[in-house]
Amino acid sequence: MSDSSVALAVSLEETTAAVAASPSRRRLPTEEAPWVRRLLITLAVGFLGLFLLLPLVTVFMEAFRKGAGAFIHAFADPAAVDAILLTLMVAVIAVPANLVFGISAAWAIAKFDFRGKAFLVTLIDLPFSVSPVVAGLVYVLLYANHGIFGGWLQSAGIQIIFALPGIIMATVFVTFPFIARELIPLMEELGNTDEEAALTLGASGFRMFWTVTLPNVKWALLYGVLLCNARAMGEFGAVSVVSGHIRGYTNTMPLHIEILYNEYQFVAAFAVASLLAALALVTLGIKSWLEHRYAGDLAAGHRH
Amino acid sequence: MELDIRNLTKTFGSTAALHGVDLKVASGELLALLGPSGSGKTTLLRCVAGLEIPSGGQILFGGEDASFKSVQERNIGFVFQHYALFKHLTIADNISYGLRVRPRRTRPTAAAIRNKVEELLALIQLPEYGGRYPSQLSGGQRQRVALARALAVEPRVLLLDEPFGALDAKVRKELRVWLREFHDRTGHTTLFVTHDQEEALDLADRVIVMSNGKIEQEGSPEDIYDRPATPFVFDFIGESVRLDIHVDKGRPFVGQQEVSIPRLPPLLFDGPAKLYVRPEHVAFRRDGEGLWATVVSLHRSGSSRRIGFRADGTEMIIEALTPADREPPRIGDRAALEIRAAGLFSGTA
Repeated sequence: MSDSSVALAVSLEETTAAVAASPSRRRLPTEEAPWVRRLLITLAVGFLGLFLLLPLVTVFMEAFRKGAGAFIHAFADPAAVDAILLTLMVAVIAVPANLVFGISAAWAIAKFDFRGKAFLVTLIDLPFSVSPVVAGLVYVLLYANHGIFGGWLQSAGIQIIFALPGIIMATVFVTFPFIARELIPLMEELGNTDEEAALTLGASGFRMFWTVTLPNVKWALLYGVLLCNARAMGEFGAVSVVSGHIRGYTNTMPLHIEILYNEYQFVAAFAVASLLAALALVTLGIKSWLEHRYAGDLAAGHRH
Repeated sequence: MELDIRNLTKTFGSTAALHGVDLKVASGELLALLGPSGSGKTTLLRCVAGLEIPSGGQILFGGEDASFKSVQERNIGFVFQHYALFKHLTIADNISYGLRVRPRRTRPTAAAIRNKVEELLALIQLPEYGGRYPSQLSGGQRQRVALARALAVEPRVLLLDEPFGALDAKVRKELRVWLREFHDRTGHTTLFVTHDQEEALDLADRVIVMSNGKIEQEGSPEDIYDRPATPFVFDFIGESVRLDIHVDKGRPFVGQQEVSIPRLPPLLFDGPAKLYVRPEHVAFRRDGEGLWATVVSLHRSGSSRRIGFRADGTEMIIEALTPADREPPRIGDRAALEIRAAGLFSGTA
């Protein structure tokens, strides 16, 4: 018995040695040739560096070109402060609005079957596929003073276009899919069983939602909120159309940056831009951490 | 609490899942709903729970019509195939969930809830597990926790939907024995759904065999196995071969040979018929009276041997089961078969 096992061990060792010693080790069928691998990696890294990393570094370099004093000075401008406050204000309203809409839409789609469900799913993706400028223009067409609802709104004394409501509506439109899209696949995968369990145990619908549904999707929800917030603060196209660029009143950070740039105030432009970029980096950092920490709870963590 | 289901129907869109099911469940009974997938057994269970709204009929809990009551009002305990434990809550919090969601008026005190949880954890033999999370438990343990959670609200009826379906064979058997003992001790009126006949026959006081939204047969496990009432039950429960035979002047024939089958009711028809024979009801001898046949296959499986015979003058194969240690015949040997029990149904389909 012991002899045969020794013999087996020896023969195994010989086999491994033979494999290691063979000069042209055979590749796995899914492995590329070394030169293909190197080429692909070089291409990917080169592209990312040139098109993504370099511009990002440049933003910060330009912002500090004339030193920290000039950088800080850019934020002393009341127009800059107003732009930052407006951007925060828009995010504070648009993100919770989309939180509610997103959960409702995801709930409706994941938990019920109804006519037109496929259409609703497609509709949720509309803001991803349509140009934000078009969205802005449609809002102008509908809600501006000469627009379809314009007369009625004017007589009611409500100003939407070239005012805060318009900016918020445009932002909500553009950022709608982020939360819904994150929740729908997860909720569909989870199904109804946990909710049914809660109901059979006597929980009311509201209780069930707070104690079972929400905890089940909380990481995906946070992830969606994060992406939604990043986009809400950075949105340019749709907001640009509806805002009217009224300095100190309807200028958000991205719009303010554009104005500064067009006025050749490069340091100020890049200083505000660096704030947006820093915000994006923080978002990215939290997002990566969430993905790493709660990979199992995020339905589509790898998708964005 | 006894349960009375009257003429229950359920349709999903244009497909009917239940066609007028009538069923009475006695208080304290352990009842199995057995059937293939799509037979309507889960739909029936979910209708009783209030998770599905019936299209017609009535469900009475202890004589009181519960057809229009909500899930919450019915006060049932439901155990799901995949446990459906709340994974963000500890085992203790899972078990006490049903008590904690009660309105303040009827909610027990924190101390009473703690005691109840302790008591249930002891009952499911997991006393030290209160602080753990569902992901730290094995499948069998999770299902016991799910049962404790369902029992915490002191339900009137316990409903189990394929409770062992997600477990491996060994744990399944252990848990089955455990559930039987558990039921004998606690005495809840219990309905459980399964597609596993062994489970149903082993565990239940009474078995309801369902197919295509109807009850095919109801009876004790012995009734169901020994006296299947319909061709479907013969096919579905246990093993059997189907022989296409014909009846002439009240006597059954396999090919040209007449077969004698004990305890068969008088045949009141002539023409084609189906004969269902279980392998363990077939005996064979080398000589004497019987249905003459030739050995065509031998197959050893575990402790028994399966022998295939072709009945003389036909292409029909009849199987017999013998202990593996008995000297087997050889392929080509001839033998006289004795059929000790069988089911006979008229028609060909």
